[in-house]
Order: sequence, then C-alpha cells, then structure tokens
Amino acid sequence: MPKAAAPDTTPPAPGRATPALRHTAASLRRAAAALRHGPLMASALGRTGLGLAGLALLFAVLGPVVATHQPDTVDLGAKLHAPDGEHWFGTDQFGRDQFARLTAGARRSLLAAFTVLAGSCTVSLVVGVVAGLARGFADAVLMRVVDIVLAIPSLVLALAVVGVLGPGFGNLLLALVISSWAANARIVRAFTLAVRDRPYIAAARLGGAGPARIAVGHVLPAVVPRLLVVATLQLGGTIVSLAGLSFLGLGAQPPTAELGAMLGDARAFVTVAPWLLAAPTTVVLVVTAAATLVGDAVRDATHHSAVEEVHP
Amino acid sequence: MTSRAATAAPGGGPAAPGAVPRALRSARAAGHPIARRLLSVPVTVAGAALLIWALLPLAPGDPARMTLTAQGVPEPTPDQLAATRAELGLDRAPAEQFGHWVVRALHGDLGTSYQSGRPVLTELGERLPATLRLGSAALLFALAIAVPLALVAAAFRRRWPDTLARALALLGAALPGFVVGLILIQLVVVQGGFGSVVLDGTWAAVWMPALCLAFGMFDVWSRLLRGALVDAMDSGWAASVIARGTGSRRLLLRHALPNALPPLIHAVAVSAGALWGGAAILETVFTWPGAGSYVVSSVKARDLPVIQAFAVLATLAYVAASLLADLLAALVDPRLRGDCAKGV
Amino acid sequence: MSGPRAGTAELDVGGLRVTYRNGAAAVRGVDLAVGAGEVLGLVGESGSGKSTVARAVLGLLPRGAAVTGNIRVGGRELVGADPRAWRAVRGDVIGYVGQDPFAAFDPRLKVGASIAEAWRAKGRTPPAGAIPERLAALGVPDADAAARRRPHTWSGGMLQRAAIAAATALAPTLVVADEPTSALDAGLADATLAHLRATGAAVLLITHDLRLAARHTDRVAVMYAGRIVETGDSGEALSRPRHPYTQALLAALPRPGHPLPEPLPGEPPSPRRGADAGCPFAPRCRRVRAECSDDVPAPIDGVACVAAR
Repeated sequence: MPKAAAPDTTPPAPGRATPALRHTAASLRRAAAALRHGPLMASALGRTGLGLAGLALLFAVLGPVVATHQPDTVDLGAKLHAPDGEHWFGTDQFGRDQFARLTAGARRSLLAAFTVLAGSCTVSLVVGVVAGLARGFADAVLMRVVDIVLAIPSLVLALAVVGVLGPGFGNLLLALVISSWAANARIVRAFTLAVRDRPYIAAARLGGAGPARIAVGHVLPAVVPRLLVVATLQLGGTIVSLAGLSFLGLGAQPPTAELGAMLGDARAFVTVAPWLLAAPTTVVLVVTAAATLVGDAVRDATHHSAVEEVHP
Repeated sequence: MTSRAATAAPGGGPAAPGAVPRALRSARAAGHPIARRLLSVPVTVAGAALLIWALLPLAPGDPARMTLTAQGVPEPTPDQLAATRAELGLDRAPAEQFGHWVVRALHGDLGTSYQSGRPVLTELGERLPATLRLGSAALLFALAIAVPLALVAAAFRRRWPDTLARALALLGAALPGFVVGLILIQLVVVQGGFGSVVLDGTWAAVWMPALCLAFGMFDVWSRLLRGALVDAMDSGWAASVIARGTGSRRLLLRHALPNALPPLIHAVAVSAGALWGGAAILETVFTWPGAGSYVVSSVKARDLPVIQAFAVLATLAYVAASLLADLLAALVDPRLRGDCAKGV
Repeated sequence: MSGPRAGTAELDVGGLRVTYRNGAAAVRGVDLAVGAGEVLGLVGESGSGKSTVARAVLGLLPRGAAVTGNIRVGGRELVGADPRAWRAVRGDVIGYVGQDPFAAFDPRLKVGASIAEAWRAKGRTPPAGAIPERLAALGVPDADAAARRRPHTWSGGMLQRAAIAAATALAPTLVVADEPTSALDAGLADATLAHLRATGAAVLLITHDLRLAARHTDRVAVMYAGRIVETGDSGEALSRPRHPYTQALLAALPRPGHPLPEPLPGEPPSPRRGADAGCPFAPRCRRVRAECSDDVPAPIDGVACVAAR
C-alpha cells in the first residue's frame, strides 16, 4: 500500500525535540508573517484561496483526530444511514462512517498530490537543468525525448502506465509522475537558459566552478522557486487527475478511503444515499478551488520575477 | 511542437512591438518554421510509438500466458506457451520485435485483444465513432461557453461581469467533469426523470456527457482568451487604433479578438489531446459505448494490446490536432507564417 | 507672449492638471495654445510631463487619472467629455502619431487596411485610391504594393509615414505627435517631420530633441516638473534662452569641436512629491535666489523665472 501517502503522525521524542520544536515554531511564525504581509494576502481571491486551503488542511489533519469512528470499520447494522449526530456525514453501504472516511481520504489525496508533484519536479529538475546547462547534443536529445513524451496525451499515458503496472494507488502515483514530468522539464530548461548566462554565474564559472557546482550551487537556487510557482499552479489539476483515475477504480483499492474512490463507490448508491455524493464533492470542490486560487495568486504575485524572465 | 514554444508567447500576449520581425528573421534563418514543424512530426510519432511499445515488456507477467488465459486456456502447457510466444514474436530480439510491430501497425494491425481475441483495431474502430461524437460536441460546447465569457470579461474588465466570468472559470477548474456528471445524473436523470443513465452513443444523447467534458475544458480557454484580449487592448498599437477614433466594441471584435486567437487555437489543440483521457473517465460515468470506456475496462483487465493501440491512436490524433492548430494559427496571424517579403 | 492670435487656436489648453491614480501629479498647471497650421514643440526631459499632456489631449490617459482645467480642440471642451464625444473627436479632429511606428498598427492587418480603418471606424468608406495616393505623397515607394503588406515587413521610417497617413486620413485640424522620430535615424527624422508639417494641420510635437525642435517648429514650450517654464518662437527661445533651465538644457548639448558638456547636476523632482512651495527648478539652478523658494514663479512674457526678469 502507498508508503508515500501514509500520514506521518509520529510525535517527536519530547526530550530532544525542544530546540527543534522551537526552531519549527520560529520558522512557522516567519512563514505566517510572510503570509500576512506578503502579496498572497493582497488580493481578495488570494485570501479566499488561503482560507479554503487552511480549511482543507485542517480537515485533513485534524479530521481523523475528531472523528468518532475508524474509516474502515464495517458496521452492517448501520448501512446507508443519513447524516445524524452519530454519523455526521452518514454511512455507506457497509455502514462505514463517512466523516472518518472523508478526512482520511482528503489526507490521502492531498499527500498523494504533493508526492506526485514532488516526483515530477525532481525528475524535471534533473532533466531540465542538465539540458539547459549542457546545451548542444545532450540538450537536443533530452528535449527530443521531452517532445516525444509530450506528444502522448498525459491522461492517456497515465492510463497506459497503470494498465501495464496494474491498478493500485502507488502505481497510479508513478503513472502521474511519468505523465507529468516532461512539461515541467521544458519549463525548467527555459528557466535554466534564462539564468545560466547571468553575470554571477558566469563569474562562478570563470572562478573555476565545475558544472555540478554551477548546477547545484547557482542554477538550482534560482530555478527551484520558480518551479515551485509552476507546481502550485498544477496542484489543482493533479488532485483532479488523481480523483478521476481513482474514481475509475485504477487507484486506491477497496477498502482504502480516497476521494476519487469514494465518489466511484457513491455512484451505485446515489439514488438512495445522496450524501455519499454530496460530501466528497464538496471536499473535492474546496480542495481544488483552494489550490487553484492560491496557485493564481502565487503566479500573479511572482509574475514579473518568474514568468517574464523565462522568455526574455 | 518546438515551434509552438517559439510562436506563442506565454500567457498569449503579443510579443513586444518590434520584436516580431526580429524573431521572424531568426526563424527564417533556421528554415521555414512550418516546414520544420512538418518534418518534426514523423520523428515525434515514431518516438512516441517506441515509448508506448516499450511499456509492454515492463509489464509483470507473461504476455503469452495472459493471451492464453484471456482466450480461455487457464493452465496452458509449455508447448502452447511457446507457440503463442512465437506467434506474438516474443522469442525475437527487442529491436526486431519493435520493427515487426511497426510494420504490422502500418498495415493496420495493432495486435489482438487478450480479452476478446479479436483484432484491437476492429474493437476500437467500432467504438471510435461514439467517442468522436462526444469529443467534437464537447469541443463545440466548450468554445460556445469560453469565447463569449472571455469577450464579456474583457469588455467589462474589473467590473461585475468580469468577476462573474472568473467565478465561473474557477468553478470549472475546481469541479472535475466526472463529478459534474454524477451531479447531473442525480439531478436530471434520477430526480428529473429526463434522459437515461445508460446512454446509447448517438447524437441525441450526447449533450449531457459532452457538457460535462466541456466543463473541464472551458475554464482554461476563457481565462487564456481573456488574458490575450486584455493584452491586445492594452498594447501600444491598440492605443493608436483608439486614437484614430475606433470604438471599444470595434477594438474588441475587429482588432483584439483576431490577435488573441492563436493562443486559443493552441489551447484547443492541447485540449484535443486531453480530451482522450477525459473521455475515458466520462464515458465510464455515463456508460457511453465509446473507445474511452472500453479502454478503462481494458486497463482494469490489463488487456495491453488495447491500451497500446488506444495510446497510439490518441497520440496520432493529438499530434495531428496540434499540427492543424499551428497551420490554423498561421492562417489567422500572418506574422507566424514567416512570409517576410523584403520591407519597403 | 508670442502665441496664436486669439480665437484661431486649434488647441487651447488652460490650467491643465493631471494626477495619476498612484498620486503622481505629472502635470501641474499647463497653459498652451496651437494655432491653425502652426507647429508647437513641447520639449523637456523624460518625466517632465510632456507625454502626459499629449495623452490628456488625446483622452488616452490610464484609468483613474484625474484631469482638471480646460482642453479645447476646435472650440470643443474635452475635459470631462464622455467616451462618445471623445470618439467623435479622435481621427476627425485630432490625429495621433506615436513614438514607435511598429506599435501604430494592428499587426495582423495589412497597412492599407489599417489606414482604411480610420474611415471604417466612423462607418465611412475610404475614397477609391486614396490610400496609395496618400502613401505615395508621403514618399512611400511602390505605395500600391506596400499597402498590401503587413507592418512587420515595413521599415520603421516608411511605417512612420504610414502612421502619419493614418493619423491624417480624415484631415484632422490638429495632430498630436509624441516623439514621432525617436525610433528613427536622424536623416529619416527630418523627412518625417517635414511630411508631418506638410499635412497642413496644427501640430503639437512632443520631443526631447532641442535641435529637432529648432528646425521643425514655429514655437516651443519648455516643460520642467509638470509646468511650462518658457515659451517663445523657436528661433528666439532656442538661440537666446532666458530661463535657466532652457539655458542648461542647451548647454548640455554636445557640440563638435568642444569638450563634452557638463551634465545638469541633480535630478528632476519626482512627480509624486507634494505641492511645490517654490520654483521646482531652484535646487538645480545656478542663478537661484532667496525669493525662488517663496512661490512657484508665474510666467511673465513667456518665462517663469524670477531671476530672468
């Protein structure tokens, strides 16, 4: 089962953790201050997006703590109960508590989306930076490969990879990484080309820094923040793709709770139990709307520094 | 597809004034852009085919055994396996296998379905018309929503129609098409008693899945087109056009819209690729008898030749669509044509 | 003050103030008039507000810019006019020639079609053969074929002539030309301005080039920090400048056979500063006196300077 999506809730050992905790708290405070005064808060849409994102994170992180039931506990005596005080979001055809399943599913979907993006960004960073710095033959070959991968529609490629490896959540994540790295590799290469001839990098090269040092020490720090902006914009689409393929039964397998899989399960019972559709739909809507709004706000806030320099 | 990056600026804005002729001159030095574009197509398609083909040996399990199992031989003898292996060409070197596969593909033979034992292209061909109906209807719906929305948003920039268009686009981005499909089935079919949950793949039934598919595409288009329209209306040449007495409606429709079309055309071509995946999901939601729902069931059954063939077909269609888009964009915007007769 | 005879002014600007939405007061009380057929040069450094004056006259200021004062064109008051009134004036009464000829045309249209838009925008049809005729008259070779080509295939100098043809298609009585030659070679600049003048319209020529202004204008108005500091006949004002700023501008021009001139010390004041207490040029002025900081000097006999009296 998906290692990557397993929530990491291990509490740190109390004795050793104090300085680390303090450090974490300090960086959290700094991040909060940056958020409060940063450009994200400048636009009403950015604020709405952050609010929704906070809501979604709260639901995914604290939901399992609040939930009164286990997500996978079957209670055939409580099949298809409408929402009430006992089961806040009702129960499904196996009597499983929908609130517990939804929070677990939201957490799994969010972690999975971040995992896919992290994988896609890592691959694209390696390929894009190497191509952009090497130029010449290596660049031509790598970019030709990128062109070829991009010629296969990404969901179709993901379907094909899942078909080859077999349905399963881990395989689905791998499939989405395989189908999404190429577009980012081209973007990273463009970023790399934009920074590679900057005076300070030329100076480092003249100072005797080798290609690896230039790549890791100078190009990556300039490229990664911009790639993060791009990745933020892709978060919503990634969540939607994950949910869609899981909905088809190609991702998380029963009884694992996952947003798309829950929507797929809801299909058969929607006439008698509309809450099975309403609740996951709302969660998907909030999560993707938050991702889209935050992505837009981040792009707008960094427009001049990130986007325009790519195509000087 | 390299030329797309060269011709369409990010965000679709027209390049800085004066930059265009220079960019064109350098493009001409490297050969005519459209000729280069045409030349790159076979290479890309061949590469994609190799990639798709190369996925197959990665699959765990023995294709020969899977073929036999699918054909109703659950416990094949070693002789049967060897025979099937030879029949599938699996005993040859990979390069030879690929060459064999390509030659057969060029003759219209993309293999045999593990499940049905029938030629894959026959299976897909029977279902393709329904998918094409769905896809073309979805493209038309999405255009019919996105273009007016972008025009209104650009005309009433930063006023309530613009905000409304943004909100609609956000909804389009945030609600996946298949969720819209589930909601529509619940509201229209189950509660409204209108239409059917199982659709027959005809034009009469296409509107509901097509609307859902369009719902997943229009938001990108309307945002892109609005941005390109606004860029055009804020450009230096637009100020000159206004200064000659052109009204805002004429500026929008006669000047800004044609200039904003190339990025939209490219976005539509990209969506034409994304459509294949989206169709797979929505055809399953609506039990639409198309190639998409067939592929989804094939993925679950790991019917690899079907998946392979579908990926090849989708890639061909996508490459053709983006080539068409490049030609169409060059038709709309003469600067992309590279017809630089020497200046006055 | 040497100016157009009263009542004959094609453009009459009085007490014009323009404040942008970010609070920058780019124009702080400008009076100027351009008579029929006259060429007035509005000169000054970048940031002096001269382009803002041009945009105000054309009604092309960005959203949220506050305009007060008067702008009368052919007797019509344009400050506060509605979009319909502006549209009626543009093209028919006021023509506009901008700085970059490549930014003067819809890049997608053939140049001839773009010029024809001047008529079509008003619901009229261009007279047969008029467009190549005008292009030829402005010195565009092979005008028929040229009109059927798109702007990116034209050269800058020729395209600027086409821009003049488009701006004067409907025979406006006033042409606003904002740095029309700064993107062109020196030789082309003279020819372009000669063509502009030959159209017979009154011209408000915005330029930072004093030598060009001396050759191609009847009168000049020198702008500094949002105000006009000196006006006069071009020959007079640019050969015997009276305002210290005009003198400094002229002294800063490089001349052959002389050592490189000293640049003017200091920086022009920011347009975002508050109201001026005294002469805004005083901090950079060589002839500054105590009373310079009392009031913003009013123009007397075309010169807004206490020391020049």
